[in-house]
Amino acid sequence: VNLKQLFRRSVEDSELSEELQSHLAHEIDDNLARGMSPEEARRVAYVKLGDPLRIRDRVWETNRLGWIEDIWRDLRYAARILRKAPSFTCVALLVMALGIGANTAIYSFLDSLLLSSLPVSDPGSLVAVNWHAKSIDGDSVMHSMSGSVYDEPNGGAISPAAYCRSPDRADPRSPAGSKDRRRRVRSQSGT
Amino acid sequence: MLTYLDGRWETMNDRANSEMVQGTLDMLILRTLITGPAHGHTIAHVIEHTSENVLEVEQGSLYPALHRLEHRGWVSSYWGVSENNRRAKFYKLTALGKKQLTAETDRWRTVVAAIGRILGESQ
Repeated sequence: VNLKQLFRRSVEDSELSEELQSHLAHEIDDNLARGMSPEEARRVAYVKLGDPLRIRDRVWETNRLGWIEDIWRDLRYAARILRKAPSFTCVALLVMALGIGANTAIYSFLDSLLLSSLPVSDPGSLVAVNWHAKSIDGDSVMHSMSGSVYDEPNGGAISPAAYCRSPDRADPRSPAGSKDRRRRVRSQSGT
Repeated sequence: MLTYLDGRWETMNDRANSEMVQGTLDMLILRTLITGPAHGHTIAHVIEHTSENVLEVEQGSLYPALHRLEHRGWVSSYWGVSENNRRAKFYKLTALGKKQLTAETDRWRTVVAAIGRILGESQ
C-alpha cells in the first residue's frame, strides 16, 4: 500500500462495487442456466455473495494504511466540525491565541529582565552548577547549585560532601557547623 | 463441506477444527490462475468444482483475498469481457505470484507429509 493508493481509495472502491456487480451478473447467468426463474436466480446470487457493503469494508480493512490514514481522516473530520460551528471555532482560536501570546510575552519580559540584564559583563557565559554525590547512607544526591555557590568556612575548596541532602537535616543548604556565607554568582563571572 | 469464512475453512457444525487450512485460499487462488487470467466468479467456480465441492469459497472472503494478493504484487488485474459477454475484472498471475505459489505449495506439502507421518500413513 502506498500514498498513491491512499488517494485513489474512492476510485478503487467504486471499481470494487462494479466488480461485485459483475460477479452477481455472472452468478445470475449461472442460476438462469440451471433453470431458475429470473427472480429466484437473482435472490440466490445475492444470498450467496452476502452483503456487498461488508465485502467492501473488508477489502478496505486489508488495504488500509493504518495510522497515516487515521490521522488524515481525523484531520478532515476536525476541519469539517470546526467549519460547522464558526462561533466555537472563533472562541477557541481566540483563547488559544491569547494563551500562547500571553505566555510568549511574559517569557520574553522575564527573559530580558532576569536573564539578559544581569549586572555582569557577559551574562551569556554564566553557568549553573550541579553536584552529583553520595551521602553517608549511600543515597545518590543531585543538588542544584544554580544561582549561588557556598564558601567553605575554612576557605578550602568546595567539597561536594558538605552540601549533600541528607534525610536528618531539614535544610540541606546549611550543613552543620558551616557559616552559611553566600558569594554572589557575579563574582564567578570572570570576564 | 468446508466454507472459507473470516480467514479459515469452516464446516457448518464445527467451527474450530479447520484453522490448519488458514491462509490456503491465497494459495488456491494463485494455483487457479496458473491456467490463465480469470475473473473472481470463475476463480470461485473452479476452486469449488476442482475440489468436487468439498471446498466452498465464501464469496465475502474471495474479493478481499484477491485485493490483498494484488496489493502484494502476486496478481495483476485488468478489465475485460467475460465468456458471458459481460464486463469483468480479470486477475493474472505475476512472476512474483508464481514464486509465491511455489513456496506456498512446498510449505503445504511439507506440512501435509508431516501430519501424514504422525497419523501413521504409509508414504
